Amino acid sequence: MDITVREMLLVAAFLFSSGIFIILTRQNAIAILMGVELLLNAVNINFVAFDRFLFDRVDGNVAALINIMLAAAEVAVALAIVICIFRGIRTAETDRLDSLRG
Amino acid sequence: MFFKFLFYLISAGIIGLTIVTAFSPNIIRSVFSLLGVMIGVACLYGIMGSQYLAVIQIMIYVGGIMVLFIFAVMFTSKIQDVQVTNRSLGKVQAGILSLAVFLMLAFVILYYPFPQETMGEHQSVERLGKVISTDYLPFLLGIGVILLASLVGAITIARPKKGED
Repeated sequence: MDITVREMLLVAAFLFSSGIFIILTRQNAIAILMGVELLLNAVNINFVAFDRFLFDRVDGNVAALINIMLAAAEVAVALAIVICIFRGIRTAETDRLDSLRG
Repeated sequence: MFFKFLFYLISAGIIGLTIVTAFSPNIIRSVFSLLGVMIGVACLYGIMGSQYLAVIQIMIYVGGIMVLFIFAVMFTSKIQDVQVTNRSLGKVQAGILSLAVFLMLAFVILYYPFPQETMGEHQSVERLGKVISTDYLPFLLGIGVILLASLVGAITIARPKKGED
C-alpha cells in the first residue's frame, strides 16, 4: 500500500483550480499574484510526481527548478509594479486602475 | 504505510489552507495560509524523494517570495480595515468555472491509463546535480541572467523618484 501517482495529481489539480478561483474573484492585485503562485506550485508537483512515479528520471525535477526560479523573478517584478501603481493612485485594487480608459 | 498516512495528513493541511487562502476576507490571513501551503508542497517534494527541490522550495518560496508578499501587503493595504483589504467578486460564476476545471482534470487523472509505476530509486541530489551541470547547463545560465535582469528591473521600478520623499 503506497502512494499512487493519481492521488498526488489530484492534490495538484485541487491547487490548480483554487488558483484559478482566486485569480477570477480577487480584487487586490497582490491576491491575484498569490493565485498565480498556486498555479505554478501545482504544475511543479505534477512534474516531480511524473518523475518519481512513472519515468524514473530527473528531467522533471530540472523543469520544476527552472519554474521556481522564474516564479521568483516574476513575483519580484510584479510586486514592484504593484508598489509603483500604489504610489500613484493609493490603491492596489484592479478595478480602480482605469486611468488609461478613454 | 507511514508515508501514506503522512501524505494524507499533509494533503488535508494543504487543501484546508488553500480554502482559507481563497475565502479569507483579510489579506494578511490569506498570505500566511499561502505560506503554509508552500511549506506543505515542500513536504510533498520530500515525500516524493526529491530532497533538493524541497530545500529549494523552502529557501525561495518560504524564505524569499512570501516575505516579499508580506512586505508588499504591509506597504499597500490598510490592514485595520478588515473588510476592504481583500474583496472578492463573482464568487458563484468563478466557483462554477473552477469546479468544472477541477472535475475535468480529475476525470483525466482517474481514467487515463498511466504506464506501470516504476517506483525507481530516489531522485538523489547527485543525479540531479549531474544532469543540471551537463545537459541543462544553458538553461541554468539563462535562468541566472533572467533572475539578475528581473531583480535589477524590480529595484528600478520600485525605487522612489527624486523629490518624492
